[in-house]
Order: sequence, then C-alpha cells, then structure tokens
Amino acid sequence: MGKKRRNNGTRERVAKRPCPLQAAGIEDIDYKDIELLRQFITEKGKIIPRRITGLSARSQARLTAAIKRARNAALLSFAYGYVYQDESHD
Amino acid sequence: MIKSYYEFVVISDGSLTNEENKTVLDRHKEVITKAGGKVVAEAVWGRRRLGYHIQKKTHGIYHILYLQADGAVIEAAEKQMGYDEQVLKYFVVQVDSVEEAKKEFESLKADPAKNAKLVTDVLGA
Repeated sequence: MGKKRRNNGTRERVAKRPCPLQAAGIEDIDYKDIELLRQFITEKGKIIPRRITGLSARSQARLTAAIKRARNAALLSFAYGYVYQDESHD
Repeated sequence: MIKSYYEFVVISDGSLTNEENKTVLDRHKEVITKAGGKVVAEAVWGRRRLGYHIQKKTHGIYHILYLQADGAVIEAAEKQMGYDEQVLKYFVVQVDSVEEAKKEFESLKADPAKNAKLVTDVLGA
C-alpha cells in the first residue's frame, strides 16, 4: 500500500455545488411528496447519503425525516424487493 | 387549553366501498367532536397501493382530516382508531396552518409528479 502524498500547496480547489433542494427553492419537504422523495432513495429503499446527494445538512435532515414519515404512512416501503419477492413494486 | 392544528391521516382498508369508508370516517369524526376537537377540513387521497402489506392488505384508502384539537383529543381518537379493524393505519402530524397544508396537498394531488425530475433538472445531468 502506497502512502498518498498530500500536496496542500497546489491542490486545486473544487467548486462547491449548490444544494439541489435549496437551488430549487424547496424549504419544507412534505412527506406526501413521494416522487420527490423517491429520487433520494435507492432501489431497495435506502436513504442515499449526503456525500452523494450533495444536499445541505439542513435539507438532508429534513429529507430524512420526511422519508421516515412516508415509510410509517406506508407511502414508501422500508425495504423494496425483500419481503414480497413474487410481487412487482413500483 | 392550547389547541393546535393537526393533519390526521387515516388509512382504511382498501377493500371497503366508498360508502363503507364513509361510515368508518364518520364514526371517528364523532369521537373527535365528542372529545372536544373540531374537524376543520378534509381531503381525500383515494385508493393507493401500500408500500408494504398491512394486515395482509395491499391497498388502502387514504383520507386526511385537518383538526383543531389538543393532546387529549388526539389521544382519544388514536385509541379508537386502534380498536377499529377497518382502519389499517393512522398517522398524525402537527401543522402550522390548515389552509396552507390543504392547499399544498391539493396542488400535490393535482400533479403528483411535479417534483419527479427535480434533481436531474437542477443538476443538469
């Protein structure tokens, strides 16, 4: 295993991407807005982490709360494709 | 007593007819009004496929009651819902304003896919 060399002096600065939800002007995330929530979960129904979604901490926290509410209201599944394998889930 | 506004989602058995569903809801509305709460508004979401099976049912009828109530009313309503076998699930969320919540829900219901492409749009991918 080779050690990674850090070169802090000449390292390029990566441009910060804006939070997708704040850029779209969505402040409150409604748990009933399933189509919006679906974009932030995997095929199996897991919540996609912030390092990949690129959301701000605040948006991600609200999104997580909304997804969990939606799961409780049976709007989303806890685990797609695991429990009822003979049925197709959209 | 401090009264707050609540959004009370009732998921009743999807195999019920609309009339049967209405009697179920009326039953619970009566409990709420008797306990001192007030049903300010209502919204119907209709029959939907559930995210997972509840009591071996695959579909449920979603109905939203907007209430002005206090904790005791919610407690009484939840208790009755728990006894009711025709109600698969219920769900309470506090809201700031009923009008706003209902308006938002109606616009969402009118166009459920309005935010479906949001992320790809914003990222331009």
